[in-house]
Amino acid sequence: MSDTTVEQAGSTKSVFLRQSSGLVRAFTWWDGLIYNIYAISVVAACSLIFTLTFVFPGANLPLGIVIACLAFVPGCVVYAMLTTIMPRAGGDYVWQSRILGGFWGFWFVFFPLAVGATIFIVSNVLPGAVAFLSPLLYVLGTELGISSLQQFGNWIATSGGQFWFFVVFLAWAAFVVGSGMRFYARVQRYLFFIGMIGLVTWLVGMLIVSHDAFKTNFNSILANQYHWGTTDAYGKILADAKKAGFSAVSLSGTNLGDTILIGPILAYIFAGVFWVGNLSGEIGGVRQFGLSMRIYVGAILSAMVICGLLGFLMINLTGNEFYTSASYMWWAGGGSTYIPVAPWLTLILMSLSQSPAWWLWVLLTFGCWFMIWPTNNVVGGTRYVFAMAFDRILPARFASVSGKNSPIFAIGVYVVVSLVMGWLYYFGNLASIILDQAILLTAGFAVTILAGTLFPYLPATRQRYFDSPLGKYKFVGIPLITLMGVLSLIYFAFLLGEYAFNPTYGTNNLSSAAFLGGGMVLSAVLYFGTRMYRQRHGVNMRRVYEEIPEE
Amino acid sequence: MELYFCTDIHGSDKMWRKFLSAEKFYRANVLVLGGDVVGKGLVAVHPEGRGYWTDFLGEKLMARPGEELDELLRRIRAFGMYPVVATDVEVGLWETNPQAYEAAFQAAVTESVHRWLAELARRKTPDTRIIVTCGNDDPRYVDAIFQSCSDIIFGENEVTDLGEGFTMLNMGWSNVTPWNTHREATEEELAARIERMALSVPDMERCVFNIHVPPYNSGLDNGPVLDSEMRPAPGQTVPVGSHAVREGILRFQPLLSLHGHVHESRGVTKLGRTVCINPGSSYTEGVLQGVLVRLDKEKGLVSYSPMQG
Repeated sequence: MSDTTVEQAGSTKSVFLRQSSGLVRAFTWWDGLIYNIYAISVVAACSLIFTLTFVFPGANLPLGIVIACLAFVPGCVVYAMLTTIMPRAGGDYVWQSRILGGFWGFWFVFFPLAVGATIFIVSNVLPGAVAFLSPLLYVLGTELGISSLQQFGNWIATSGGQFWFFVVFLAWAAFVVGSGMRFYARVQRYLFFIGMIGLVTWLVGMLIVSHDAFKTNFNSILANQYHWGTTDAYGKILADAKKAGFSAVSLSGTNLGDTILIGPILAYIFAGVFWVGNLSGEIGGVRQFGLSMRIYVGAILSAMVICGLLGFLMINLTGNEFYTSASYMWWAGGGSTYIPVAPWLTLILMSLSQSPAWWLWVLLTFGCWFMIWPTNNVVGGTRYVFAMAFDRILPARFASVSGKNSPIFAIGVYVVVSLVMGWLYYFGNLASIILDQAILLTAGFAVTILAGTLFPYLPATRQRYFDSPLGKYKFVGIPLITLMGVLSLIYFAFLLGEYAFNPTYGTNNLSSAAFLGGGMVLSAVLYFGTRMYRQRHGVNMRRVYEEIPEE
Repeated sequence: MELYFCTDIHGSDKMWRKFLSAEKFYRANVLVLGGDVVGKGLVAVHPEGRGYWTDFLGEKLMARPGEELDELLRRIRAFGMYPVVATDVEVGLWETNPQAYEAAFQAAVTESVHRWLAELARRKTPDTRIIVTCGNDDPRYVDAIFQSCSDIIFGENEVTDLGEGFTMLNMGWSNVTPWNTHREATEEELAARIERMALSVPDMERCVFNIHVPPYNSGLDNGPVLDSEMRPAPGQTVPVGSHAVREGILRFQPLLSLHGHVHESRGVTKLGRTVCINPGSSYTEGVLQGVLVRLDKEKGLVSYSPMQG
């Protein structure tokens, strides 16, 4: 059989193909783009991450979104080039291990990205229970006079409720992913388009509802639905934040320094653009550079437009001082003991109109994005595990595929580990280290970009790079992948430096160091332990990663 | 015994050389090439003035005679295509006359395979067994070339002795494809071929199947859904493997079953007690995907490691 690259070559007058068989993959580039837009987590952005930027009160959120997204574009070019040259399931692991060496590939992917994915899904499901389902059920229960619905809405926001919500979500994710990528792509496509309708409705709502109408609705919901004890919830939040020492500013009073410093917070979502790399072996047509570019650069620019617009409209509607003050009061001013419902996403959505039909429409349609987005944590995590098992650094069983080409055993293990992580998160102490996800993600992706940067220069890979159709792209004699890699690494160095040395991000503490250091040490022990075990059984692991010489 | 298996190298010089290197690199004493060894087509290299040019991988490449031309030809051959220096008249003939194209293609294949075998004769260690079989994309005329080479065992449609009591059942034929390729048969014919060979296997627990097409619905055989114009439908795959192969594996339960054919459906699965592997193929990327298998006369299948060399 042949592949799509050869077919593409047939379009020139020098190439004469004979009749022979062909093959494509389960995902199209369009599916890849959608997958990546999901990976960037617009839902998480609106429901969670944007609210965390209050720690830099002088930040201009919409501008910060544009800067952060543009800063990731060079990295997107590196990923697109790696995807074109080496499209493989478990992309980051394969690229790092083949370019930098087996140990580095395993070390920087196993814990940061493969195990990390089991933590990502825990925290990604959180907004669904707290910021989406709970307020929706509670307010609907109040409107319809069904107290059990109200109680269920309250319960779903408790630790127990969140955990069971997570369990149900995980079962759904395992079902969708285990049914094969063809089914996954179809579900993903339908939910994407329905979610897009919800998103557009929401955007239009924010455009046409005035600031005063928003305030009136907001105050009404908190007074009448939640019985918060004030008819001016809006003013109370502003006053309480000021009293507590928070210095809110209007959008015109923001500054560039704080705007850049929210980059490491926004990276939590926008670095997700690199997540599709793990699936690159299953996307048809990615050997065409243009299509790979669409998947990565298209996704980050789409996310920039969607999130930038959402951020701007939310702040324009609610006021920057209120938005940051409400976030401050939720995260640093007492949370649910201060205010009975998280004062963002669902509350903002509901404050656009007092009509329950409107709430249902927007939340159910926009909620479709939520239904599929965290499942790509399962897809990505299992692809890394699959690739590692294929190299025998993890048990061979993880590389077993079902009739639907799903690594069913890897999915099973992923679900079990995620359940343990979920339990630790909701009932143990894992919640305190959830911020470390940003370090895990950026470190894992940064090493891939470093591998791409060095690709044309390392003796083992140089020939392969220049033999590829992308070897011709140069700028003042420097290979494009290296140039883009260096530009990208500058931004990644900034991100990692901030995480490591700036206490504002909550990651430069002892528990983070212990968690990250412990995870990395265990990964190294696992790698060398497996190598020794395999060696004893006659498998030379070093050979797995090395390229066979031609002579 | 260390057995290295790879497949679907599709005319790539680079893959062939890596295949030969696998002997020393992986310390393998049996090398098996599992079919689809012939490339996909010709690349016309046009003489012009004092040099040459061609369009390849979307890029117009120019070369002067000597090192530059050699490098150009190397790149094309590494990719699995056959470069042919041809005048505009010859190229025009290929476009209008299928027989002229087929003759040029056969000449290029024959030259390439002879060159490969000469290189093999130069590099092969006397004790290493090299088994070559065909796939559905391989024209029938290559059989005679391989059969004439004493340095390899051409195992197509035969049960081959691997040594240490192990045997290998080889079959390059596939079920019917939409492309009407060179070695296709109905499921009934495939079942009969497998049965005929399997009944001559002395011990199935020491037999390795080397069957080009993977078993149906095994996860090793996901291919595209095609529309009426033979274009792949976006994002849709279906199992394209063989029912007869699946039934053959389940009925005879060999120790191991090695496959190819569907490049991007690499994986490992089990049918009954039999471990089935498709190492896949990435020959256009310059990567030789294969699997290194350790067999022991007492323990049978000791280990298998998919490799991307």
